[in-house]
Amino acid sequence: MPDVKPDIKERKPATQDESEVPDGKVQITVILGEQTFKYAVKPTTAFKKVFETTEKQVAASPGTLRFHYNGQRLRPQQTLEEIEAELDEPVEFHAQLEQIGGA
Amino acid sequence: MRLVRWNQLGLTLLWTHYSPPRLLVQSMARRKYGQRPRPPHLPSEGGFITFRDGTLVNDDAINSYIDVLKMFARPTVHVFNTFFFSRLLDGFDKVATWHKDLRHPVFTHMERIIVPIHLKSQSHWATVSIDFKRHIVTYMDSIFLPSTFEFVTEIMRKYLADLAALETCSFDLEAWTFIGSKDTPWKVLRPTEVPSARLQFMVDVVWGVIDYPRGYDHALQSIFPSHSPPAFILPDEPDYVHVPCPLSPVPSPRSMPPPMPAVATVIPFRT
Repeated sequence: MPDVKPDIKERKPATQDESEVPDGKVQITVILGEQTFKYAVKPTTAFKKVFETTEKQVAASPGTLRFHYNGQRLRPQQTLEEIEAELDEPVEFHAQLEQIGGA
Repeated sequence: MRLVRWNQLGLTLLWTHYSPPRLLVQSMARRKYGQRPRPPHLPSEGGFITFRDGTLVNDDAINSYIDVLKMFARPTVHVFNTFFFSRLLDGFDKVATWHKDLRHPVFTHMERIIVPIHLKSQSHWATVSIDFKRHIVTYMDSIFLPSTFEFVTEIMRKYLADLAALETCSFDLEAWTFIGSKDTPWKVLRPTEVPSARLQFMVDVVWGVIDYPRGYDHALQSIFPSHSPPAFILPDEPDYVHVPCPLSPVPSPRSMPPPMPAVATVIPFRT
């Protein structure tokens, strides 16, 4: 019986290339000041995951960052489908810190 | 059995007895947008907490209220959210896409744009109202520092010029007047009319932010298509009990005070 070895070449090599987005997912770039974070999310995924991950990465307490897309404030339960994001262009979310002041 | 739709009931009932803000706001959204409601962003818990007396107001609270205002506003009146100005400080290109929902060209097809301003160094809120009909930019700030006024005016001049360039409009900066006002109506009204920070904030937005110099009547006409504001903007609900003031009689909440004296500083355009 011939010794059949698995064809290693057929397996997709693990890559760190950020431009490679899995099928069915959309790359979201979150810009916070000079920092940039990239995520690949499904159009039906709630932004809550994105928000929480970003807050963890910058060690911000939960709920203190505000996210926008083209001036539209994003809510944690919204999705790319809901906000009707234009997927032809790169999707960029802008994060900003909470604003507090007296009136 | 016939089902009663909640949005057919009076707003007062919803506001007082039945989980007020969410249902109220959603029913209003349904009225305006029909079958596909787009309710405004409601403040998180933190946002509601900042409505209490003695606390500062956060962006969440203000933006939620702006969302509600936008539902009633004519399409020619636009209110940006509180992050617009801080993005604008990084350059006009950062906010160019924020003008998508506006009528174009803005200079001829918009009546008014309102820009809430967060002054980070002062932990303070101010507002700029851009009147495209009268060519007046009004800066409203209750503590009004001349340096801040000049700074904001400079940013606004640049913004208008950049906006004109984006839309390839002819733009004559000298035709524009920049006004700064110190007194805001809520400050005058506070002893009697404004018992809580929450109401103060609402009054500030409706009176001061929209169109302070021309008074309350004009503010309502400017932002609301009909002259009947929603019940919660001129509240006479039980939780808005007026604090009695020994010095002056308590005015009725719906009485229209005279327009504020125009305490204004006009800085002419410098070439």
